[in-house]
Amino acid sequence: MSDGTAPAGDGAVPAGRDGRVDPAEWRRIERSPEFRELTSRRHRFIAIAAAVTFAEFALYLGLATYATGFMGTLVGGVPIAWLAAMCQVFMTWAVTWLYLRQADRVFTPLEERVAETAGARFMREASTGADATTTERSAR
Amino acid sequence: MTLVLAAGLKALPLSIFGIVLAATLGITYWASKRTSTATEFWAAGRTVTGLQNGWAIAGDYMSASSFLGFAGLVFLFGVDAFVSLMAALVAFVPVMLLLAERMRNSGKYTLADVLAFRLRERPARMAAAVGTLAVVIVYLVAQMVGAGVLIQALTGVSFAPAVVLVGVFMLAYVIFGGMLATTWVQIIKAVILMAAGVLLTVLVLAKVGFSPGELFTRAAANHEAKDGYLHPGLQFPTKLGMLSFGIAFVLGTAGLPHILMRFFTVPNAKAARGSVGWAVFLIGAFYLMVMVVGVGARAILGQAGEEAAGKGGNLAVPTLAESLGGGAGSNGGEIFLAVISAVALATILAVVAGLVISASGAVAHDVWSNVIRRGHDSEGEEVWVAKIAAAAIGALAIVLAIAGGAGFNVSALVGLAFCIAASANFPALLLALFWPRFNTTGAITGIITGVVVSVVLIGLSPPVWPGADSATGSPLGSLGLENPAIFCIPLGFLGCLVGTLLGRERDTERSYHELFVRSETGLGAEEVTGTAVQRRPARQKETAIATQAPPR
Repeated sequence: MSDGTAPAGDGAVPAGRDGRVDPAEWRRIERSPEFRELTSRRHRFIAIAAAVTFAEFALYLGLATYATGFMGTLVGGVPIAWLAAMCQVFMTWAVTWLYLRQADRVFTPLEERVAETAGARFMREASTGADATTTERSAR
Repeated sequence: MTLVLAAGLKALPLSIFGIVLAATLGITYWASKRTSTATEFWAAGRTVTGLQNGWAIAGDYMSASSFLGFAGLVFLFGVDAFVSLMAALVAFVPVMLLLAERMRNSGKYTLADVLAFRLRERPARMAAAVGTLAVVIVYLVAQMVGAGVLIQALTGVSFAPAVVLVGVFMLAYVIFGGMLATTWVQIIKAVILMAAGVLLTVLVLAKVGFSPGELFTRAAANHEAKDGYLHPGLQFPTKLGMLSFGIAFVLGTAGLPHILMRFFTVPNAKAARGSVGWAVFLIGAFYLMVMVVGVGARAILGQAGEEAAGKGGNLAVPTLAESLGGGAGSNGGEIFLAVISAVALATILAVVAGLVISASGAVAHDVWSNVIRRGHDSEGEEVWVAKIAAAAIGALAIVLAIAGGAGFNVSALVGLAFCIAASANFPALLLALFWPRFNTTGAITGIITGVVVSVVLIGLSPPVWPGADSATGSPLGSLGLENPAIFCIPLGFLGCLVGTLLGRERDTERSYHELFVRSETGLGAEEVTGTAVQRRPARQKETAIATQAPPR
């Protein structure tokens, strides 16, 4: 589908015959700087978080598999294997908490910016002020 | 000290079971008044909050194998079994980072919705339904067999009636109360499971004067391997087997249909990710307690407890509870044993209900509504078919569980379910969301490859291969792993890749842009309620934008 089929509207999303949004509109959003910023920042965070999680889990799994002597060493009366397992739990909690915090502080505002620039028809119900614009457009 | 496995019904556990069952039926009645549309049936109207969903995910995920099985493994094998627990917890990180919000943003009721979004609808839905049903039915049979064995041991009700009882209650929740009843059964189960975990942990620690060192010293002294109990290496016959087992859990969870389906019950992506956060917190806390309880069972029950704990150590926790309550025959022991048994029952019921409702989605929403009827059916019809499908799948699971009986190797079945989830469902979902070129052929070949290699390799594995009872019994020799995920997952991805390259489909890349934007931003995501009411006839895609064109 060529981009020419997308009617030039200032942010209005054209609907197809069946009420669907023109595919070109999605391309337009995808190319917008707001969307690119959202995905590049979120994907970078995901890549790092996943790498850290898998690295520490691989380390734990590797030690449990191949360094059984070390894992059985007692530290303060308890085996390192237990301490390492507890570390896994705390690390998993930490990664989860960091992602949730980052999502609330950074990703959600970026998502909202994408939605704003994408046009009122895409606005979520919650966003106030969208109603007026929508009504205005549908009156056209 | 020992649990009587044979004849004689036990009145106390049965009456506490009765209370649990009555409470769940009450919830189901309440939920049935609030469940009529398809969105209400499969997604509880998308009104479950993040916190509630977090508890429900924990309740959906922590099966009896988490509570009794993992603690039993720690009892039997010591620190080696910690690996299983940690793998099962870390598994939620990929779920949170890659799937939770994206599923909510782009799906409706089932994981097939995400695939069908950008692939050819009917074949993609069929393939996803096959993957879903394979995982769910295998996992369901495993849970039912486990439930039968457990209830028989704990209450004296024999195996077949116990399986039927579990099956009937599971179907009652799903058919009458839909996702709302299932959700609340899971939440309540998670709450009482956590409470039981805290209670057991505190009592165990009190026995050793709250000194972890003392706990491990006593546990090691009470194990035949002595200090070997404190070293990994007792549970898995081969190192490769241990690695493979860990990987199966970590990636398999991200392909479990009943877990992923829970993300459709929340109002938006924020609640979806928040619910994984709560689930990770709860499951992590519970697994910390399971480690203490498992080691405590060894320290307190000792080698003599192995007989009572039964095969796989499943009864180690109930036996421990009996001992902590004052020992067999004492009132305290009897009561505590009965309470823990009731917790185990609630655990099983919550998990099997979640499994059945996800299977009903695959049959009714994917196969019936979208493949057979091509979206021309009414919403009422879809819900009716879902209920019939739930009944049929439940009946099938009951029959299979009774026919196979206790002869089914439960851990091999659970391994198979995770292996299929990791090597069939997970690759297809991940590539649909992140790989622009991925196409229908790739999804089909990937899912089929994942299912087939998992079934074949598990079939050839040491625990299943007939007449074999050791690691060398498998025709694959030392490569015959109890859980072959380490081979199956790469093969599943390879299947997706080869199919995609061979396929000649053209427009998947175009629809990818729409899925990508939607999944990343939540634009056009399914709304909280009411979208299902406006079912448009003969539309091409399930996914027409939710904020619809104004009425004209």
